[in-house]
Amino acid sequence: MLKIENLTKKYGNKTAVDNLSLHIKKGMIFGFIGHNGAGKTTTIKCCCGILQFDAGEIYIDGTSIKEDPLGCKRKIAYIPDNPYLYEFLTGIKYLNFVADIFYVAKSEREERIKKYADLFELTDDLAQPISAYSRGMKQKLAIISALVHDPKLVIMDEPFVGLDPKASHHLKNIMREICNNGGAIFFSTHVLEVAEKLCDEVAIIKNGKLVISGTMEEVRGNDSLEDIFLELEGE
Amino acid sequence: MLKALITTRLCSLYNSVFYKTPFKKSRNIAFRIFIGFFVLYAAASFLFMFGSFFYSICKPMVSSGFAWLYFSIAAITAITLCFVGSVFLTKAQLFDAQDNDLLMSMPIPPGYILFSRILLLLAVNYVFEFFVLVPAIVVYCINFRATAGEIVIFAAEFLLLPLIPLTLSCIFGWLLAVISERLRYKSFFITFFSLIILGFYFYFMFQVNRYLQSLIQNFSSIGEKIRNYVSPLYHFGAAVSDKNVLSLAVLLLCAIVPFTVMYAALSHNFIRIATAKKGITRVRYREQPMKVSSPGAALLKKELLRFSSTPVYILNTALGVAFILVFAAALIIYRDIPDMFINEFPQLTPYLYTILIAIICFLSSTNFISAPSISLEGKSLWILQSFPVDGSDVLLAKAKLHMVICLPAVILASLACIIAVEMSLFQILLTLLLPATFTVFCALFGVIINLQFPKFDWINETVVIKQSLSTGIAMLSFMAATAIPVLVYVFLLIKVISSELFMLICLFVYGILCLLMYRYLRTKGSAVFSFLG
Repeated sequence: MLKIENLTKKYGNKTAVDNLSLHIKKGMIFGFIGHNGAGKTTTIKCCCGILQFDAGEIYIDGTSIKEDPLGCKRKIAYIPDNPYLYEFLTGIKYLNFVADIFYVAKSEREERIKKYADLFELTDDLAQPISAYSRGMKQKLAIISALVHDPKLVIMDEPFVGLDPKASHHLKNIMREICNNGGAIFFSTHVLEVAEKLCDEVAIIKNGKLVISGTMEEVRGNDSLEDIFLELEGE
Repeated sequence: MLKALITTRLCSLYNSVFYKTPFKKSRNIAFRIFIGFFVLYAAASFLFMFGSFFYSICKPMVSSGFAWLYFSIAAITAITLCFVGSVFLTKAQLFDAQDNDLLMSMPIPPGYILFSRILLLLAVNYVFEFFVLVPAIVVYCINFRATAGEIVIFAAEFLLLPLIPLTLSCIFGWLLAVISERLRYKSFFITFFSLIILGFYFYFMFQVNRYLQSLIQNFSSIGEKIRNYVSPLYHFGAAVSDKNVLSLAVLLLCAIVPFTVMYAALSHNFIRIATAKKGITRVRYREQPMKVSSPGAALLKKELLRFSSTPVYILNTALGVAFILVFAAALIIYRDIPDMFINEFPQLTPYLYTILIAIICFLSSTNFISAPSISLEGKSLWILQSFPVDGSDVLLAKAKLHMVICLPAVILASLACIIAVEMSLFQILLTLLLPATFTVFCALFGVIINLQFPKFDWINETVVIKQSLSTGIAMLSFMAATAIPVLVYVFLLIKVISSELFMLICLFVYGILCLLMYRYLRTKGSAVFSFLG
């Protein structure tokens, strides 16, 4: 579903991502772990077509994001680490706007918005301007907007930050549901317990370079993910 | 601690203008020079305007024994300018400050926080006061020899006077905050309120000569009314002209007592004000059938919603629309305006329609809605960049916003000209097409300039709307785009080609430029957009 081949991204002289290769297959929840400034967000933004990269290739469901960025973007959804949304819109207007951009049919958008807004207990607040939302509410709205066009691949940057335990639980279920329906999830996290319980595969990145990747069993062996992470980070 | 707070306030004021930009150092220096010239120009304009005003009233008043009235008028002018200039800033600093939570979590006495904010506002009031009272005293000194005593008393009054408008703006700022927070359509209220104030301002400016004449002819009766009903103003004037220490003491009381009461009240309630939950009326969502639009229409709708929900965006970038509508209405209501003009300047009869077209283009050039539109995406830029829409569609939606807001008014004004002045079919076509094409030119040019000079790291929308490089360049370029053709024709071509032919050439040039800019946005502009952020 998502194939990253020899991705390199530089900011001036600094190499943020260095020759990174990953393969996220259909039906897989893939965790992306690394210290602050390791290059996780840069990688994620390159995969979503937000950042242009210097070398390598990224394929979404077999299509190169360089050659057909719009085609790739139609298949994916992105949830950023900080949900900076349009504060001047109400929640419902924002969701409708996203649905318009993705050509979501009227009945489908109404059905999906109702389903996810009810699930995340945001329905009553949809008429409120986003400027009145709390951090958690904005995160919930960003998640609903990502799901409104039924994406094949969901790319998330620290998706659990700001969510209450109930919403986190629902999000985990949704992530599994997407994978069961043939989609895939690629997400970064600092919460190693979540990664350990949720992910089918993980990759650890350090200073822009891939340190290790594979199934959870392959990566951690008999240790915990935290032990492996700290060992690889040189603690 | 207090020093650190005051320094922070001053830094925030400085950063609102010179906040670090992603530009190269040389570009930052150019930007500072540009801002420096702009500030100098604005300061010189203010000093000249008030200097001329005081020059016209100084001699007749002082010579007739009404020196006190001259200084009283200076005081009321200063109070008005300070109040109008600082009331919205007062509201933002005292009642909408974003850093109250952070500051109050630190071991800082709340009184210090309030004091640092009030001190900043006082400094702003002194700046406004400077532009009025300095020309007033300079004009007085030029015409009459001022004594040292008069100068000393005037200096003391200069220090005291801003406390009066500051007290008033604190009270009005509080009222504005209370009213606007309780309203559902807050931005509409603020825009409407601001337009009313601006309406009064422009009405006053149009009538200023009449008021000035009336003031000079009737200053004894006006002076009597001021003496009887606005005693602090009388004492302000009397203290200087009569070197009356008692009047100075009365002014001292009038300035300090209300300010102290206001400061004590604010200080007493500061924590409550700062921590008050904003009274946004909670509206419960009721499910409704959703409206489906194409991506292009959705992008334009989003731009319209941003525009209509941001009063500072409307008031600073689209005021020209109001002027165009007033111009159109004036042409329709006062049908004899063109005849009056022709009677006054009969030699300009063949150029009447040309002048009308130039006026519409000039008024349209005062709108620069598209110039800050990319920067306004700020930290939300990721939304558009992650969407499956071409960058050129995003950019053109921003240009379309400018057109949707401005073109109806421009066409209306063109129609008003066609109704008011007799024209040939060719002239009618030019009157319709040239201002409309010029407006499209401004819309596209604004987007391109912002694409070259974006600013996403703003902390307040006002920074990109009022103070960014792209809006500055756009404003000057639009004015140049109107003025240059006029100057070229008047000074070079008036005897060479007819106005019709020249207008046709202008239409052709602007049309070609529009096509080139459209092509740029569709091709290279889209690529530039994908690299932004």
